[in-house]
Amino acid sequence: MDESARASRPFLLYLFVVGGAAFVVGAYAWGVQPLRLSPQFVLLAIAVILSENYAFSIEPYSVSFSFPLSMAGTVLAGPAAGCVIATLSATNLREIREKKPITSIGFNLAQLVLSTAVAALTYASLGGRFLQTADGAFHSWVSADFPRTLLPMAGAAVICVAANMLLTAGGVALLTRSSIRSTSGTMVALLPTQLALAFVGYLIAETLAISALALPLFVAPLVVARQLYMRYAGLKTAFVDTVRSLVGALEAKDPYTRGHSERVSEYAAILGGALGLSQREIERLQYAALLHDMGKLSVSNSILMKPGRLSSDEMALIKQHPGRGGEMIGRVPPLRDLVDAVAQHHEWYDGSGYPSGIPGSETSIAARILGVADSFDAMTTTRAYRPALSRPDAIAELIRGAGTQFDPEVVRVFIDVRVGLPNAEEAVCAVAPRGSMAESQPASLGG
Amino acid sequence: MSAQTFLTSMSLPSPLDFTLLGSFWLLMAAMLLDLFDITLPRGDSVGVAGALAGAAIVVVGPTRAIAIALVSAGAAHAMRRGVESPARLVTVLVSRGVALACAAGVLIALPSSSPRLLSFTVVPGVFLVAELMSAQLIVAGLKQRPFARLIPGNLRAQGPAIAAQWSAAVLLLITYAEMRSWSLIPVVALLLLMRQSYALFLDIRETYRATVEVLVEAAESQDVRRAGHAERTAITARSIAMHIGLAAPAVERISYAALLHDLAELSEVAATEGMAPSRPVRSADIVGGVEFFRSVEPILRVCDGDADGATVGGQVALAAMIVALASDIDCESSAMVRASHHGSTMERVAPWVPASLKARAAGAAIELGYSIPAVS
Repeated sequence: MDESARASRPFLLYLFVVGGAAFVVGAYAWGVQPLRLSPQFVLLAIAVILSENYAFSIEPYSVSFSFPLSMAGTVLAGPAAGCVIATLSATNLREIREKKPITSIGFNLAQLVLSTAVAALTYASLGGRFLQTADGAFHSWVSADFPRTLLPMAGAAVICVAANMLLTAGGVALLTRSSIRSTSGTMVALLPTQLALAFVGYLIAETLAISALALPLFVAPLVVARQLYMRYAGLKTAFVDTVRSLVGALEAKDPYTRGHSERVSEYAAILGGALGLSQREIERLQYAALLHDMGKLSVSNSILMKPGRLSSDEMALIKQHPGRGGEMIGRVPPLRDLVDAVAQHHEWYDGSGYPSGIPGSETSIAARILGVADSFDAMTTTRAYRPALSRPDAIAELIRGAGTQFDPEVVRVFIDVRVGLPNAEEAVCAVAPRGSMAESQPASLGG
Repeated sequence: MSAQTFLTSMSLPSPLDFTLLGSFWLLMAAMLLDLFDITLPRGDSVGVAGALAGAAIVVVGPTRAIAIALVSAGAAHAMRRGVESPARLVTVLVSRGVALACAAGVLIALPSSSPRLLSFTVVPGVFLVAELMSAQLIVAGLKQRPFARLIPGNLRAQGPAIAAQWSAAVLLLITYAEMRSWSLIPVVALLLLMRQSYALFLDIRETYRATVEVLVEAAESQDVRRAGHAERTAITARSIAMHIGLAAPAVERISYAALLHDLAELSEVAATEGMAPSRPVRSADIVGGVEFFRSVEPILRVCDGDADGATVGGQVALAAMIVALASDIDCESSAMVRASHHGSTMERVAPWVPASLKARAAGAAIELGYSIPAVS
């Protein structure tokens, strides 16, 4: 968790509860098998410190190898060793250099120790054997330990991952004042990876119990996995910048729509957040917004920039652009989930839109959000066929179109969050009180 | 016998586990990893099953290892039918078979007094390197690419992955001695973790590429005469670059540059009364602000005919020459494209490229059977 926001009172209370629980459970776990120093433990401690200082972030969470190393410490030398390794993982010099709030560092420490202690107790209570015995010697797992050791292994892994995710999701939700659902989405996606990492931790423990000299064998696989993950995270971030830049450059052929997709993307992201979409859904919505007018790239400039009224043939060509855009995006397999949003962003709530004439109940929420964001930006910018409307006038048009052209709930939220609209409240008061959004005048053809 | 004594014991080359059950679980694990091989539409593929195949020689002996590796590849291919081509299966089977034979030869040749740790480390290493070399040899033979020039680049690119798989193989062998087949569980978890990282990276890279392609294609579709020019240029440039033997990152840069070499033209603003065009005048300027295209920008600048002579290095000049040649080859092949294109890219690029690099690119294009325009 990497939040620089000032901690709220509920978060401090949460931190106090998690910290207290970590202390109590950690102390109990220590009693199950106290720490016995050994070269293997020292190697693990060094590895976790190095790992933490080279951790990388997948916003807003940080992924490192402290988790498998904590699991390795736990099964290798008992709960106390696991808790110490978890504690060391919070001693991240990078975070201290970056002046990360002490509350965030404290919370990370508390939740890591608590998760590790609970996992260690689960492992022991399910009959798992710690590889270091009371005399300090190490006895690696042998084939006779299986399959009965699988249950404590799997149980400890699941409990540790679940506790870590829940505690962190709760902390992030309190810090960012967002719903726990939106913060847990990214974590659930990481679940299979975390479980695999737990078993890598067991492999580290087994290898150390056989020969501490074999520990460097983990460097290449884990560094390769991490480097690839970093390149993935870098490309993912760059993807939006690239699409924004290219779409912006190609949009520039029509000076009237320059920057349109980027503004729609900004409006859509704010609307998505206010409507309670998860972080991933908002991310996909932004992609869809950036690409929503892709179909227009193939429409001739002479039609796009025609100052007068369009002929019916020209209008028919324009009306093909959502479908064409959907088709183009459908050819990029990882973007296929955006097809509906792009293809339906000109459908009306009452079913009289284009290209398919389907009602709002059958269109995606992303398409309905795009419909509002797109129309608002179209109305507030100058077009070849008309000058820009003022923002209050555009809001009035949205209100008039709510229930016919637009989803009334999306319009209501749009006005509530006042997306970049300093005068929105005045506009709403001047035009219509909330609840009277069922006028039947079409607002705009949209972007 | 303690684990460390076992590792330094002098008993070679008896298999670690000659039971049928041990071979069965090894086969299942290998099939699982083969099944999760990543194959991308452009032909890239990544697998992590090599680690198990390399270790299998020591675990179950050469004969069974060969059977396990070939059966698992064949079965996984049958289950993934439609995802990967038969040519890829043949490449996998042949390269794996050759590599297994090499590794088995090394195992047998090791002195019988060698410590077990020697076979644990050398045999998987020989297998993994031999598998890469034989796969490259097959690809070079099939696609008429220079094997000797491919190998250094591929060793550099694949080196970390080979090291990671070798480590996993050695870890399997060390822990197998204690845990028997149960050691496959954590080792397969480690390999799947690596595979997952590859999958995420390749997936986003593919998304990136496909999105840029679709955007360029959409912009091109406004003028039917030039539809598909960027994509064809990218394909031609890629094959010339690969034929020359450039490393994968350079090929990717050239391919992107080819795709985007007409970006400025595609974003051209029609003169509109009252609206001063504010678009960048060069393709390089458009991508200049995008971090991902930082290495593509200098190539585009040369293609724009806007380079600073002092900063054009040999690699950039060669890349720009390849893009220009590919663009002009496409223009030459169709009068419609030629009519819609903003002149010869090669004419703009030629002043920045030494004669030796022009000859290198043109030679590769001729060898590939392209009809090339005159290169001055």
